[in-house]
Amino acid sequence: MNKKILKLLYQSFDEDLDEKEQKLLEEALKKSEELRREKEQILAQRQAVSQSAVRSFRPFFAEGVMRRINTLEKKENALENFYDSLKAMFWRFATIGAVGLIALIIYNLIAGNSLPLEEAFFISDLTFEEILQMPLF
Amino acid sequence: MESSKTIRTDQELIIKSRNGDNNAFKELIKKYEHQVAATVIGMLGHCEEAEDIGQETFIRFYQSLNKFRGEASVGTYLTRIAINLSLNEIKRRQRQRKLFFSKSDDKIKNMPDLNRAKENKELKKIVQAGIQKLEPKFRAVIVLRLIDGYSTKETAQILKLPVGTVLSRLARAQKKLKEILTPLYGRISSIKEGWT
Repeated sequence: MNKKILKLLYQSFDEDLDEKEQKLLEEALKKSEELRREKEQILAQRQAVSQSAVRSFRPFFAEGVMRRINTLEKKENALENFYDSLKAMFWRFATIGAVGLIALIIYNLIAGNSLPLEEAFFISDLTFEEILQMPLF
Repeated sequence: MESSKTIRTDQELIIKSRNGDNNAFKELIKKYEHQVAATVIGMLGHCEEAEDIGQETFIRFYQSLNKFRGEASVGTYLTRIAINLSLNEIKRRQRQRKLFFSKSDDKIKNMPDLNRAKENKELKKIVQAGIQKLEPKFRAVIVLRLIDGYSTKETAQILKLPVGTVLSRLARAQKKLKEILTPLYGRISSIKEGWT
């Protein structure tokens, strides 16, 4: 069988052929019994394939999908809650720390009766060596 | 007279689903379940994994609801997800088969009894098994074009291939399918008689 004609035959099922190709195919079909048989077989096979389709899942498919979605969402929510509580805990500690620091600064300001920042934070102008040489008690 | 059960458009259902209305999403599933089933079962055969991939298709869609801009129809969008997941599943199977089985693991051996093939169910099973014998790239075009009924242009868009490639794959796939099915039936046209 002519390969070009066979290609046109297959193509004709899926695409509009141009006028020249259409004429060529029609001529060939008129002349060849084998080609006509081939066309019938292709058509039959295409119908068989399209009718072989199974178009449904098991019953309650939609419910199954929704169940899986809900489970996934619950997991995501649990993870989110965990991160939220971590975040909340961090903020609690950060606030306590900040309040403590502010209290320390205020105390130093009052006790030292002066404003320099070094004193407020107990920052000494001694060198590291001087600190090491200082008596412990 | 207005029906008590309002028919809602896909767009409405998507907006409601985005706002957390699970019933709206369930309605979408029911609307497209058959289409996704045809694609996934066409690609993987009627098996447990097909059901899982079908569910996964809708879960992926649910997770990307906010990204869905409606450039493609819901059906086409779902088909694209279903085809990609099915192709991944086929790859997974092939890897597993390479690991655990020899090359002779051949599905066609499990074909139904040909003596009973005149019954529609058996015929369907034979054709389905024949489709499963095709290479995934050929199977995909057959499923999209002949089972899902997409045009060649739509098939090309879903598979991100040029139309010419889809056309040549379709022709080759049909020839291969004929080679697979002909020895079982003598002439494919006998299948047609079996369907009536």
